[in-house]
Amino acid sequence: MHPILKQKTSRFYFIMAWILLTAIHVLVLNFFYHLEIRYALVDGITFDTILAVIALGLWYPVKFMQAGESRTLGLVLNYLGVALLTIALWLTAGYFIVEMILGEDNEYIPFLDQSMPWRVVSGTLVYLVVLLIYYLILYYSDLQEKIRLEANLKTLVKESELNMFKSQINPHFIFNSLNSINSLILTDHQRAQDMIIKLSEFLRYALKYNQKEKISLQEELHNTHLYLEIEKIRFGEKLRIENRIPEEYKACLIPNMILQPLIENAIKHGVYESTETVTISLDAHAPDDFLNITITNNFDPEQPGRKGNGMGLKNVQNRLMLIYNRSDLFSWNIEGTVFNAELSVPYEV
Amino acid sequence: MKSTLRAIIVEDEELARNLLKDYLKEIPSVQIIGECADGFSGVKAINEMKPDLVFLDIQMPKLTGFELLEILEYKPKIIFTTAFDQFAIKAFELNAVDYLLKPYSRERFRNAVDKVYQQMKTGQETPIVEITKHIDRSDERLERVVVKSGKKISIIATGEINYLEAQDDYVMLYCSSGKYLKQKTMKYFESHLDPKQFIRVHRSFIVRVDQIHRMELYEKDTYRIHLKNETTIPVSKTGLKKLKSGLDF
Repeated sequence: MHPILKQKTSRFYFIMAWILLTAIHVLVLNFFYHLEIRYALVDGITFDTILAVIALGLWYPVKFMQAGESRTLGLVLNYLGVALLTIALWLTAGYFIVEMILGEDNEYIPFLDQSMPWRVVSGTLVYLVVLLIYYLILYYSDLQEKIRLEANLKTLVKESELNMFKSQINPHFIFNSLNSINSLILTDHQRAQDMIIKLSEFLRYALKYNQKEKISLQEELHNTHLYLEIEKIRFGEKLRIENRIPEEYKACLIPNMILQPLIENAIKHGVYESTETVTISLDAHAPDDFLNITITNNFDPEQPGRKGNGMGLKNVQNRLMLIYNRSDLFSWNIEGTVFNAELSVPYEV
Repeated sequence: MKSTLRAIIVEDEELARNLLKDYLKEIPSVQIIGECADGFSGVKAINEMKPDLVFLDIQMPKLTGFELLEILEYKPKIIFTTAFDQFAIKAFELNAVDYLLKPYSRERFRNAVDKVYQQMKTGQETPIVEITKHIDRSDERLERVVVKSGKKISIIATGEINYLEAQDDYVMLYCSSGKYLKQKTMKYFESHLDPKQFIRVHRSFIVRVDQIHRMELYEKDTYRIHLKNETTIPVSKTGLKKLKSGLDF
């Protein structure tokens, strides 16, 4: 989009500048060269109007060359070529139009012939000024864009840090677990104690959480199981866990707490919202140089709305991006009443 | 001697129900007549058994505690028991009989039941409508609407609603699957539905933006919207402004 034409104000300033230039042009011819006012007017308006159109058109070569040519010499040569072409075009077109309007036989034509060298000089000057203005516009909009991008990036980083912090542990999970313990103390000391130990171990792990640290799949699974067992005490038969991850992959390194938000998601949308049994299953395979881990759970299809904000899934995506600098390591889909999340990390032991 | 209170527990976790029952052992004047593990059975039990008091969880399968309150025909006293502290607790404390944050102590629990007796003695009623008004969760977007017609409870995702029409004290929700009457105001829906998806185009109409097929000049200065399902909806002057700013034309 043309930077001058696209805005009302810049269009206005452009037209004002053109009127001013034309006025000076006409007055100089009339006062200093004693040209009849009608000749001066035709000369000024014709030549300056063509110049204005050329000035607007110059934006396109500027834009084009800014994107392409990068060597200084090449640029100078290109602009020189454009200058020769436009000035030649300007003067020839101007000459013929003026001659057409005023006719050949008058005192003005000899003056016009004589003034040509000066017109070349003034045309070159205007050409340079227009180039300068376009370059300033380009530079300014570039700068604005950069500032905007940087600000965007900063808020993004902050947001994701904050969300990750929040996603470590869901406070309702803690309070609901404490409530279950409160109940178990009255009926079953042994299980109450069991639950306290598990909860403590899980919390200790979650508090240590570091965004970039990696741990073995074995250890991550252990902690995930702590969480699941606590939820199992709360939900009993409603929650079933199937771990089908082969032993051979358990030494692989994965980012810590990366499975946690996915398990939590499965619990939140599966177990919390359903009256039927929900099965969460874990699977892993390692084609090529990647370790793929899938987490699936069934859910109650008769639960319109209340899909949550997808924050947990987005966090997993963001973290994998942060650690491996790739955005294609995480995907999820829904097939019928089964939710399926799959993440893959480079295979390392 | 305190009069006997007939109570129902609506709570999805068995351990949490056990705790409540254990706490209630010391308060023999409260008699448990029912236990429900989800919102649907909760509505049914309350409407059928008409208890004096309900212990109500908020996060439950099928229906949340809030949604359950909305569609009750019979209005008992309510004590909320929940781990969520962000649901306008303060507004609650003024209106529901009480709001117990899990885990809660025996004393705190006894206190809540005492409050019920106190309210009954002084005859001071806290109408449920009053409570739900404060639980409107205005900071949260409405994602689904629960409607009860006769015995049938329907949960409608807001994405299924094509348009809404005011009908006296009710609002009629028109979906592809049929129409549903909900006892709420147009103002409630206007402020709780996602403004990017729903626009109030008229005093009596809210439409879902992606259902609009075309708009045409009807009479001088008045427009009409044709929906994809060929329904025609009038547009008021302010409605037109909202449409213009919402749809950027």
